[in-house]
Amino acid sequence: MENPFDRPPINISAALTDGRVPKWRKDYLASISATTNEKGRLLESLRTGEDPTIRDGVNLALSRLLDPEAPRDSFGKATFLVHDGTGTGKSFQAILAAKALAAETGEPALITTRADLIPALRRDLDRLGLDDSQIAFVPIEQLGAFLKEAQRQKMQFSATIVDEAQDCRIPEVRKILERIPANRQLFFSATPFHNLDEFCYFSSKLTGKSSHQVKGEITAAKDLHLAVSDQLRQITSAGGMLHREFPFYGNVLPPELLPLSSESRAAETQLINGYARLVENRNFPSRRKLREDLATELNTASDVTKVDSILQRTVELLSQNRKVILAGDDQPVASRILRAQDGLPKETPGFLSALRLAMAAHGIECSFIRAFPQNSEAIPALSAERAAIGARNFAEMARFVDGAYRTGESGQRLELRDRDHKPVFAPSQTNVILLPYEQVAGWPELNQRFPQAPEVSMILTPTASADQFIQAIGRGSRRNSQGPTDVHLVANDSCADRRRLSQLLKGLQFIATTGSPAIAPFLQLAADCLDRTSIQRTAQDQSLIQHQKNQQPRSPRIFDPNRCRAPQARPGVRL
Amino acid sequence: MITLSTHHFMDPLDELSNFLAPVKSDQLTGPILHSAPLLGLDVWQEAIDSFDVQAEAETNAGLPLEQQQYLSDLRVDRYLYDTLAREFDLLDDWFRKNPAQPESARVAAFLRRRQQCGARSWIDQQEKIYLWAQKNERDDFATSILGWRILSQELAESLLAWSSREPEDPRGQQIRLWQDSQGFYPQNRLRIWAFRFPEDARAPQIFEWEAAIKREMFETHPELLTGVQ
Repeated sequence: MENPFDRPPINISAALTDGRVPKWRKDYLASISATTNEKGRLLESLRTGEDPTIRDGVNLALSRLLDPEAPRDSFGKATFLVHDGTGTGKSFQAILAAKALAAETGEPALITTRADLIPALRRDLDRLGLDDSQIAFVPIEQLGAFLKEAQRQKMQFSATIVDEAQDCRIPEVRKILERIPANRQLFFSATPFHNLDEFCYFSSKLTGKSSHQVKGEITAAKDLHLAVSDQLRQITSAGGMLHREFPFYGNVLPPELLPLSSESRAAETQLINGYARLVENRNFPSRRKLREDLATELNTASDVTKVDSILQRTVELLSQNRKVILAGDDQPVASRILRAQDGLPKETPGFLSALRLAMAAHGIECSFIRAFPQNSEAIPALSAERAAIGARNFAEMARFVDGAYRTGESGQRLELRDRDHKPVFAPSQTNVILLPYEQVAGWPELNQRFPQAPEVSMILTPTASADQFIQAIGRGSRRNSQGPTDVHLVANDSCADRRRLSQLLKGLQFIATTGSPAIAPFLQLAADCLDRTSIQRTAQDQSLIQHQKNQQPRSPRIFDPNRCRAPQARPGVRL
Repeated sequence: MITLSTHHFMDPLDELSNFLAPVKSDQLTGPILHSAPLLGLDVWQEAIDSFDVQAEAETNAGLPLEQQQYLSDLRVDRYLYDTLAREFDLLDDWFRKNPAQPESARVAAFLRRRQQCGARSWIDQQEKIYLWAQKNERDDFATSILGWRILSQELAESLLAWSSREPEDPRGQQIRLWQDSQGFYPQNRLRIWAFRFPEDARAPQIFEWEAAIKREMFETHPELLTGVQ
């Protein structure tokens, strides 16, 4: 299979606008030079090489940001969005745009992103042979404090450059960014908007319209997805944004549909009816939570029926010398409705936990990532518990990752490199990792970076969240992947799976409005899977009805004239 | 060409949720009390103007963004409470000086709500109650607590969207102080809003939910009331 990362990424913007992306007129990169000759080759290749991705991104962004006629947001700032996929070189573009903006305006540029990503940006600065003069790197977590100091010192910046701009979903980030003394904002993100509100935030900035107006226009349209797509086309044609992306590197296999036993169907019905009764006697807030609990119970009940089949599939894949990344939910349940034989609430382990036990019983050791307590990222009182789980998860992840590592003096994990500065290969300790969907973001280490290492297969169960689903896919295939990834979606025709697939499809449809080629195969996958589960369910239900009918004792039909009487017409009523 | 699903899934959970949606109508059941003409100052506008977004910037610097948002939400909740308390104080003073004015009866009715408003510590109590509910999810009362938060999130989200559509409506003015956030414990800011605008069709349910929670807490888990004055 051809590695798509050997070519430049696909220009989605050009496809969206039928090639009518504005052309840049000035090469702003020409004014940037490396401080040392030996490190100038990379910069030179970005300026003159075959791949125009970075040069085009920087020049189009500056064309817009320096254009006095460009639309301004409600705070008077000109804005540009680089909506490039993973591995397209956003960090390089951010650094080069900062340098070029500073050179053009004489004012320093401010680059902000999460604190743990700043060192990587600084490394890229060094790789380009540039120094940090005229660039202020500020961790986004410290932006508020930095702003106070900047205001005291009456600093002025040429632009605020935000890497990983999906953080703008947090209101506090938006508030601080508004106040940075800079007339321009440049955003970089592979996933800037997951929903309508997030889209409206960026669209408002890029068009100069109010967020309310943008939302009004979209919600008034007959087709929401078409309306979003139209707005993106207009913004792109007007030179407000750019979108490049690599296609998915791998094979998306047809969904695997597992049978659902009649006992599981009966339990599903029992749960739904039981919760309906439970809800009747409870207060209003409690009812709302019970709805969530029913969804959890149905999901876990559905997922646990897949354990044996997925175990079997995993064994097959391991025997083919593949590594397996398995993503699913892990929500243990003590049923509010179903009872065990001893009369106590029936307990069902979370899906991933059950799978881990089944694998252990078959002698398969796997890495197991635990989910954090809900909202523990926000509540300071849960920080310690979160940190402890995070440390254990990191150790589990490390067992699954190929490559040689040593522990540094301060306990950090350091990759061993050979004389040519290439990472040294060593096989991992485990070949299977279990990832809960809540914990699926991040983990760049999971991508297979060694050509001599096993290829990766992913097994996914349905999730309602399109964002989590796509994040999970990214654990298998990213810019640095050295081999293709197989994706297996395993579902059944339970109510829980059809519900999750239906929501997943809606979410993917929204993301697909951007024209992303990496989404397309998964949109098709989710649609196929939902169709097939629905058809299977309908067939099962009809078969069940027929079976019940056949079991009813037949009686001679008695003619009832009332049932056959033609309705009598009343004056003024058309029948 | 992608063929999208032609099978519409009938979600059985929708049947449960049909009667679970909060009231979202912005209808009024009576006139709103405007305190600015009586007091000669607009308490809420003054509060908006003097709110310092960066007040805790140095203290919170370096904390994860989500924690900063959490702490900011709680600060906003306290600020909203204090602003309402200030409006009560000023109107109380006005009422003493102007008992015979035509607006006096409505002001008196407004001031009577103050007792129900309760102590400021209820805002900080939310974290303890929420963490308890998370740890005891199987407990019936925990179900109520967590459901209360979900319902409040839905209503707060709809109020935020409504206020951006109706920027001139006085009921939206207070929502400008929410800083574009529904709050981590949205019930805090919702109740302040409802105390200020009980004539709004969305307000009574906010009181009902809270009353149900407090009643259940008092009956089943009074220990969680410790610290609430």
